[in-house]
Amino acid sequence: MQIKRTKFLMLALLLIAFMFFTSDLVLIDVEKTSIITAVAIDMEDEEYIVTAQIAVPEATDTNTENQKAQISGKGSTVGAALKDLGDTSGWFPKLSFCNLILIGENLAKTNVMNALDYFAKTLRVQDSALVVMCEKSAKEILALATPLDNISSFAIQKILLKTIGFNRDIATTDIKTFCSGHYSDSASAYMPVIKCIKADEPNSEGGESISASGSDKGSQSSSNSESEKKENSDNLFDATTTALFKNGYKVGELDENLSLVFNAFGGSFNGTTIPIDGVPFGGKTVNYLLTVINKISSVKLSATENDLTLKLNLTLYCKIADVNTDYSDDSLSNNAPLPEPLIEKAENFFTEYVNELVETSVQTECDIFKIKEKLYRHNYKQYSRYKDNYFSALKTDINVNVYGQSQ
Amino acid sequence: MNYALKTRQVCLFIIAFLPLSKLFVLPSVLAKIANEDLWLCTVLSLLLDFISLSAVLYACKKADTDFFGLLRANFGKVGEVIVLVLFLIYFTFKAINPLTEQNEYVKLTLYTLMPTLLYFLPFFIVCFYLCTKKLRILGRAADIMWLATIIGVTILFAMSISNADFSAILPIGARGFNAIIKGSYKSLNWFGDSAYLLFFIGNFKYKKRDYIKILCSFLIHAVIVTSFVIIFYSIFTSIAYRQRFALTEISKYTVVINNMGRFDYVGIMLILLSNMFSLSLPLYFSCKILNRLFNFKRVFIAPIIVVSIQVIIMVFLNENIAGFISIIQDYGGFYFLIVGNILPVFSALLKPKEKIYANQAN
Amino acid sequence: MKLTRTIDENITYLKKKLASEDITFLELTVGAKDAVLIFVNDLISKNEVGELVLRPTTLFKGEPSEEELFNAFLSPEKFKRYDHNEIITDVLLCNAVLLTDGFDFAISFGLKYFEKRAIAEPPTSTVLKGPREGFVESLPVNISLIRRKLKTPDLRFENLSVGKFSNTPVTLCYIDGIADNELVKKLRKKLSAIDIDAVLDASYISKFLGEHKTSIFKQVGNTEKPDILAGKILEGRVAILVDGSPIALTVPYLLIEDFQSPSDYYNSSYSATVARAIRFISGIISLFLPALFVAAELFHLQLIPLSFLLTIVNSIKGIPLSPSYEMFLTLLIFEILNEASVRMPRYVGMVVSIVGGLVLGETAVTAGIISAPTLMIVALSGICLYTVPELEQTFSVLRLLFLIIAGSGGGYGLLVSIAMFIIYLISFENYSTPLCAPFSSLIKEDLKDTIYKGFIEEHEFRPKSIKSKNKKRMNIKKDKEIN
Repeated sequence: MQIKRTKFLMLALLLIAFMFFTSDLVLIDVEKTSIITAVAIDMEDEEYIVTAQIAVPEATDTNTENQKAQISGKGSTVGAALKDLGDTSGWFPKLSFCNLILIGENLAKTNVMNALDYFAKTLRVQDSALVVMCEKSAKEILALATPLDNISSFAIQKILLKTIGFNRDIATTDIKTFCSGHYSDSASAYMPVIKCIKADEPNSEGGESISASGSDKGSQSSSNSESEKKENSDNLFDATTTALFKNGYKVGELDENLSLVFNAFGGSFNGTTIPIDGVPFGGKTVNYLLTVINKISSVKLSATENDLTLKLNLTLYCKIADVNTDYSDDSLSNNAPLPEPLIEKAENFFTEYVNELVETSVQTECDIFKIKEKLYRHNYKQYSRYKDNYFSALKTDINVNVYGQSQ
Repeated sequence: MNYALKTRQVCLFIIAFLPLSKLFVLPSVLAKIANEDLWLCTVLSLLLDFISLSAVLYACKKADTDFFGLLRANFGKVGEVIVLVLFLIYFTFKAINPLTEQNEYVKLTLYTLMPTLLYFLPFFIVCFYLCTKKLRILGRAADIMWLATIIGVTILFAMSISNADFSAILPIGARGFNAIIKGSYKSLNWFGDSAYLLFFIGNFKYKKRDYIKILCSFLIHAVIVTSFVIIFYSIFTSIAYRQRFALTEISKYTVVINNMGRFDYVGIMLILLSNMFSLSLPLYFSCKILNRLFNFKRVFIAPIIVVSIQVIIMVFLNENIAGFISIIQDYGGFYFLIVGNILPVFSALLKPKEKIYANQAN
Repeated sequence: MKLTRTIDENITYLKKKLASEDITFLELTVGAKDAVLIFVNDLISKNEVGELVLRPTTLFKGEPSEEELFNAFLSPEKFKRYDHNEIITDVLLCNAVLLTDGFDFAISFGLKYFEKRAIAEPPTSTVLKGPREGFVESLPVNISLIRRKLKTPDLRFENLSVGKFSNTPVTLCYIDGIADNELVKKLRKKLSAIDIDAVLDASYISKFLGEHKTSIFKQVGNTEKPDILAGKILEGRVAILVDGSPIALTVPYLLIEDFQSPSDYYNSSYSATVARAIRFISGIISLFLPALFVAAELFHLQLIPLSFLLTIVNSIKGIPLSPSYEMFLTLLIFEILNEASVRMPRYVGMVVSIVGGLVLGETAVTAGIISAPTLMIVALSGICLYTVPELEQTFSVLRLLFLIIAGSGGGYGLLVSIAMFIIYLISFENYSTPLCAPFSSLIKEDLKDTIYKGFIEEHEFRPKSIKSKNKKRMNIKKDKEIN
């Protein structure tokens, strides 16, 4: 019996071996797969133009850096454009590694969810991919060469995903966060806006892409030539402004300071530096740079029958990172107390911008503080009373405190 | 008497295999029906299971023979056949949904380039192989696989918990009792696991306080399922119902993913491995029933029948399976409730064989 | 057939049976009686025969009585034999047998002598710390090595003979009072039932002792070191020693045994635990890494971190083979090199290693036939394989199998095969002991000598995975009292 069973097993193994030696022929192997690292979506004449940045294997030597290629596809939906991109390039568009989605300026004028929803719906894309809006054409931004990384999408991700030790001045978001904001009751979402900055005197037109394929269907180019790289390597990126969306449409923008203050109410804020200029000190005015070493913030909503109050509390523990005076006592030491005028100035700075932030939110009706969600979750009894007029009934109670480290 | 299982194996069986099939599609189905109250639906279903499991344990305590023996002694041969056929139908239908989920999962998330049913069919070899084994082997599988389940779930929880906003499940009960009942009704075919435990009656030595150990294991399973559902909703909130497979989705927003690739797949793979045993359970117990009903001489006949039926269902209903499952969920709920929860409760009322024969002798 | 009192009849019969020319029938006289000494040429100690057998025969005057005859010989190993077959066996076992006219018995002298290999450290289990002696091909020497370790009257050796033509002495070794009687009885029965032409090595016996004849896993443990064997016997196992083989077999066998090393017991628990964890992880890597890599490359690119994927894509650019063929080919080359280096003389083996490892590998990568990551994966898997040398052959077959499955069915196919593998392993029992104990069935008391190597006081009791009559192996209380 055992021998019989083993013979049967051998037969099964032979079958598997047969599959092994034949199935390869129908597989889409790694070489036929395009590793899309970023996707730029633009809109032109009611059609989506999807440009994919693809990491191109060039070297067998590990010291050689990876190169990129950009190809575009057109279609009436994002899915159709991606399919077109695959059809014309012969590469199977694999989106698993797509960690960045750029939204072009033109597309932002329409309902962006019509395009982004594709990425949220399909399982073949990581919905943890970062979403960012471009000041101009998304394709142009993607095509820019930068000294940060020879693949621009990696450079942009470096800017967006600043970790500890950097300023938390970018309101980074991903598809999932954007979509859950959009599909929430308040239909509000946000994403950072990326723009190109010239590091030195420009020697080529800003945003002009040497590797851009134009709008030609399925055209392809590669930006790996050394001369091209040199010409364009002075492009840097900035994403400190934030676009606000309501029902999928862009309704406003937060400037650099507002974005910074908005982030103060989000996750980690440690390491962020805040310039506080013109602080009176010893009969002269001094400029300070504060570093946040700890932050405690809360956004709470209290709703009664007569009153809907948004309570914003922000407590920052800072230390002086730099000061533009030759005053040489221990003011730069870690445990030095912050001078009173500096604290006052810093508190005023934040209070002013928090106020402005709330105003912007009310004006644009973009619920960046998730007021409606808080109303539903924590004040459900008053939900029906305020759900349609919460912006008009809203009062704010802002409390900002700045402390030195040892206080 | 030589028992096939040990109490420890029964406990580990509950922890290793019962939570798994509830971690795939169930959270998103519940999110669609009950939104933030999805966990209440889960708790309600788990409560039902808890009651029926308690009854089964009471039956285990007083039984002096196995489930089949008890049925025969209490209802006679015809009665036994009727009850067993009810369970056979129950297990056949109970298997369809998780198997389809698994098939879809394999097709959509693992084989992005070549989705085909062929890649899932080899699973039935495992199923067949396990079905040919005795209950003792199932116990041994639990001895090993609980570790895979626990490690897998821990990895997923650890990688997802930082992205969860637990206030998302507030306000509690705002969607109304109806939504909770509806969610619970629709999820009945994912629950009703105490039916499996019926087949353990008389197969392990019930010792004093064993019920505490087994019910504690059930509570661990309940905590895993409920926490998973809560974390899932806390991550996705308004778009939770759009996430088809909670298992793959919840962990991918962690920073580690950016640095190390899909590290969470280690956990997912461990869960998938354990789930192969879990998915085989309805088929395994169907085989036990078939063997009892027809007393097959060869060990592989019942597994061939049971596995072939499921393969036929999968292959022929491949395109229309979603409709078929929705019919099962909409109209089969009561059947699942009766056989999966109510009949196990009645097992507590079954008299031990010895008593019946003693009464007959009197 | 019983001996007769007439020597001629007996000799005629024995000469017919022992007709080979290497068997000497030395005619002599014992007093007034004719006698014949039968022995195998060159397999007895001729000095000892002269001193202990021949010299006493010259001292007899007249006709000796039975008692006088038997007591006259000084050989410490002497037995009376009454049967022709017993005599034949004794002669073939290299004893010298003396037949005397007028007596219905023969005297068998244990005076065997042949060239033996010196006791040396076995190449398969070298240790940095701990005893270095290993078994040799001589059964008496091996028995003496064990007896030196366990000086107890409870240590039992039971002699059997297996093989129609080889008549190989096989010894069952166990400690009475620890080993399970049922197991000893079963083994005795199994060994006696072996009907085979010859037993040329212990592995012949192990094939018969396994209950699953077609299993890919071994079912009988083995060791070449007396210290390990003594340890195993003390845990309740039964050993089988075979003459002509330096390998001792132990039953029952647990899979975890192959992840344990003798040095674990001589080093600290911490380092032993780390070493075992490394062996365990290495075992898993050696089995699954090539398969996982191919599955990821072919079906699940998303599992590979982007930066690593780019390195892979860069390196496979221009490789003519698909990832699965490439891995298969590289593994095949590895197996060929492995086979060649084992078979070849040691000095040529070095050349094969250099040619195979450096020249072939390096040039294959440079020439673009094999990619560097594939070569690295195979090399890593190969090295990991040798951290568990006892399972090397099984694992290399399984590794190829998993690779083929992963190449055709991808990650899910691999998971399916792992599930099958697990079911196979957990259903595997030998002598009522599950192969995967103490993991499955889970015996938590025994887990302290698995991947985790417990401290000395944690080993108060013998492992429960192996049936034994006496559970306690040390008294921790006494030690604690002193402290």
